[in-house]
Amino acid sequence: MSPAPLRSLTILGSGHEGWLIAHFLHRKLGPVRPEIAVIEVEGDDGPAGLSTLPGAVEWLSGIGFNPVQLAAGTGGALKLGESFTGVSTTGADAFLPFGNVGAAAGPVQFHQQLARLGLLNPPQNYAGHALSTRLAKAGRFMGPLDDPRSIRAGLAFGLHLDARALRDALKQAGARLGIAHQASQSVGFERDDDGRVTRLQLDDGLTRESDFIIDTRAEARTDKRWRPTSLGAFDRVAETSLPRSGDLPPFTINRLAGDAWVRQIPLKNRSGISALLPSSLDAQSYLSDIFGCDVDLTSTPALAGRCTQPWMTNYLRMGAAAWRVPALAGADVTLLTKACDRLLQVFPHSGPSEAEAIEYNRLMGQEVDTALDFAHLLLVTQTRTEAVWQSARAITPSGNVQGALDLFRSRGRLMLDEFCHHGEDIWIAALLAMGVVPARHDPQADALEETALRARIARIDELVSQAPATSLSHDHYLDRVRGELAS
Amino acid sequence: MSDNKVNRVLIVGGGTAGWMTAAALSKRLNGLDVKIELVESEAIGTVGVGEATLPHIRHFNAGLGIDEADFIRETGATFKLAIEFCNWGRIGDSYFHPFGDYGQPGSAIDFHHLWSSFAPDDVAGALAAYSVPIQMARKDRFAVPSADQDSLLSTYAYAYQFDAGRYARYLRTYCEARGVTRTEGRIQQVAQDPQTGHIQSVTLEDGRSLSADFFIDCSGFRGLLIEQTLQAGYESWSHWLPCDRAIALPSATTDKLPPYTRATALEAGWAWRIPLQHRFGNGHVYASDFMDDTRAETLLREQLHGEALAEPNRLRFLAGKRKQQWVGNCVSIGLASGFLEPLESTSIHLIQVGLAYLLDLFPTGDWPGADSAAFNKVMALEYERVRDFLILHYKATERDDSAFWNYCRTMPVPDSLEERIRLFRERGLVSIYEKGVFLAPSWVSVFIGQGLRPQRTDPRCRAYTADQARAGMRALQSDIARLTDSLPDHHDAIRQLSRAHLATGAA
Repeated sequence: MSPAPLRSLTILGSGHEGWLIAHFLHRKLGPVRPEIAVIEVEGDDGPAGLSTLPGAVEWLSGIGFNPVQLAAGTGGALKLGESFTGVSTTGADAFLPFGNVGAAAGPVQFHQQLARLGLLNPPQNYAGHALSTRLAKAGRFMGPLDDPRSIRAGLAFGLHLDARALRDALKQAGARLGIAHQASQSVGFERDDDGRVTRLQLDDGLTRESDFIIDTRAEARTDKRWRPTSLGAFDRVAETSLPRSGDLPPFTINRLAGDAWVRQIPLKNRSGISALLPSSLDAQSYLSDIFGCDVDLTSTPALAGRCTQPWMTNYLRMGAAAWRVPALAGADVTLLTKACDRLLQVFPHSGPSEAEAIEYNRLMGQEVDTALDFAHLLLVTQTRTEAVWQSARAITPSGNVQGALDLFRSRGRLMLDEFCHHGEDIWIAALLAMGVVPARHDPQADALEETALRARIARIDELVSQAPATSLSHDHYLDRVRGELAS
Repeated sequence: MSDNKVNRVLIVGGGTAGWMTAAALSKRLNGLDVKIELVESEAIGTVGVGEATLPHIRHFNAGLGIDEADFIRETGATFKLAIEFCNWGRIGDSYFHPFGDYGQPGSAIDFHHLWSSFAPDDVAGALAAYSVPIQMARKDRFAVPSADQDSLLSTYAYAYQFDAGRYARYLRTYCEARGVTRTEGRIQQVAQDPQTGHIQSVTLEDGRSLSADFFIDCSGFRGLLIEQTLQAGYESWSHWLPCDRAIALPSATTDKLPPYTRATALEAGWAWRIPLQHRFGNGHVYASDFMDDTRAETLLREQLHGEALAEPNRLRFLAGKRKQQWVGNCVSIGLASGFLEPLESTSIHLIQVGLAYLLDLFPTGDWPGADSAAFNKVMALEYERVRDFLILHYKATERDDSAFWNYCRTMPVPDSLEERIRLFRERGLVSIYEKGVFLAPSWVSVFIGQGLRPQRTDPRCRAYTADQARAGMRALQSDIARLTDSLPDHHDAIRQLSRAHLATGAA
């Protein structure tokens, strides 16, 4: 007979992560859910903006939200991919599209087909065959279609989210569901002899007993279980917001400038800016110069890495408490969604849960490591000449990254470690966007008849160029969604 | 214009591995300027009895464009829904490892959690009542699974049991029709490039030399190229899988044609029974440290239902794998790459997996090392995961009736398996992995079949009262029983397939 179920579960944190977890557990545990409470412990409100992978869209749908409405209603936007400028000191701009790029021909992947025809020179040409690229560059948006005959069937998109507005919306929705919450400036823990948390100490002498605690606070990640990851000379993150100007791009903008990786997340009324830079740089002046205006920024240590044992006894770190993946990996929200899914798969009872913790820690360790690998992939493949960028290239990547680079450079193939957070398609798109060119293509591509292959690619390009005719501008699309919400 | 430098591939060794390799390459590389040659010697024997497989074989055959009915007729194949394991947990016990899941399709909670929470503790076979393929197997029924994801008939897959020798000959016909050259001969010498160490050619006993750009070693245990020439090294797993001998012996059919393989644990190993259309394949896998050959043969003969049809074929092997399965310009496939006893019918599957990765990484002739490194890494993982699954059968025993079983019951196991056992024992969970052939239902079958019961289960089971859960389970059990009673007899299903095949006039 199983032990008693959890009666109470407390989530600590003041940001969107805690509320996402609360909604997820409320929905997925159904009638057996414990009493869930969110303790909003004062602290970091989260990043200036969130830029997600496509996986976040389906996940949010699965917990009862319409993700497009959620983004539109909270000042967010939609994301078809990411742009890159300055990957090399002299090189071309690049785009990393979400969703399908071309189509495989049997076992021959699309980029191999292009390579076979000499159409991967420069490799950034790859993205041009994707519908998301065409839409993104035209500032337009259309959603995917569930019709395998349509070119739109291969579309995928992520979200740009205002972290604070998202939190507020989730909190309101949580209140309607009856998810308890309270604020506290601080929290302390009482533990028993086995290290289990027995009680939380809140403000004004208040206490709360809880069978299980999930901690999302960034300040929780400061003990010996933290395994740091080097980012070379990039040891600082500066964040700010800028007022919006001009049209609303449906993609995240990456600028590799002289001494910083600057990332811009376009939201409805502003842009969330985060810059990865060396602490030797005057971030204030630097960003003011780049954006041509004074900026009011916050600056924190970069601190990339993860907790090696996020789950111990009845205390689990998730989100900012458990990992810090550089923003340039674009894994905001989706790592948390994976953590939630894993937690559900091994959801504990009251009492000891060592086996559950071991399995969760293993799976999330692997998942976060692959997200960190993706950040490293971008850093080690840029070819800028300034000293800070050379230091990034000198980072010793993991075996997964090195193996991927070796194999891709050799023949355009990838064999990634398990639970690769970004998936092979995005790794391929990223490698080509960063200018990594395979020395040879898949020899099986040579079996494809050249004229037919060229015609097929031309047909794909034709469909890709025609489809946006029925799309709306990104702004107009969001306005329409907001109009639907209002009605 | 292609700049690919691999234009000639030589496959060393026939049998299942060699001809599967030739078939896969001839299909996938069709249209390329790649000449495929296979050299084998009829003087070198093969195991030559029935071969049980996993459902993936159907995808392999389909990928080659092979017609199922034609294949079944030519290889004497039967359908396979499961493996029955007898005497593994305790003497007298029996459980099935089916190709399929338990319970209703699409449930949010894995069925064994519900079963563990609400079913009676004393009914070891009760879980089997909730498996469509097990019920079909027990009743000697068969039907092709349904594509309707809501149907109980969508909860399983199937494989084949066939004559490996016939399959190899069948594939040989396939290959030779597609331009693969077969050369008869026994290799006497292997020439290597003095600088790179790459294999340049092989010389046959009659003096002919066969050269190639890329070599695939399907020469069996001896690993003529990968080991005897390139010295890849071998990683032994005999301390976890102590069986190192096998005797194979075909026997006459009986009136029953079960759609499953049987593995019966004996004193110091286990005996297989694989039903084909024209005979049974039988064998005894045993540990020579615990049993002599004479006793082993005696025990095997006691297992036969029909008369023996030939003299026994005897094999020696060492459980394990090559330390590197791709070295230079040579890849090993099949027994040349490693050996894991056929307890869960993984031999052909590991050939298939190796071929899939090889084709994904088919060399260009530059030999940069990244290809072989990626191949070796992923194949090591595949082998290790199969290894752990096999070890579980031995470790999770309560038998103490022989020195062999005392050894198995008490031996330390790989950490990876230790963690899996702990996870299931404590929480009823199966570790999640992406690579590796055996999914959660397979592990559940063996864990529960051999007596492990989780201490705690998915807390979402508490959404149901005991009465609700049991009522639902009784109804499901009844549905499965009724459904499987209505399905055709296995023998009839084979005959029907053959008649339909003949009716269409397919070749």
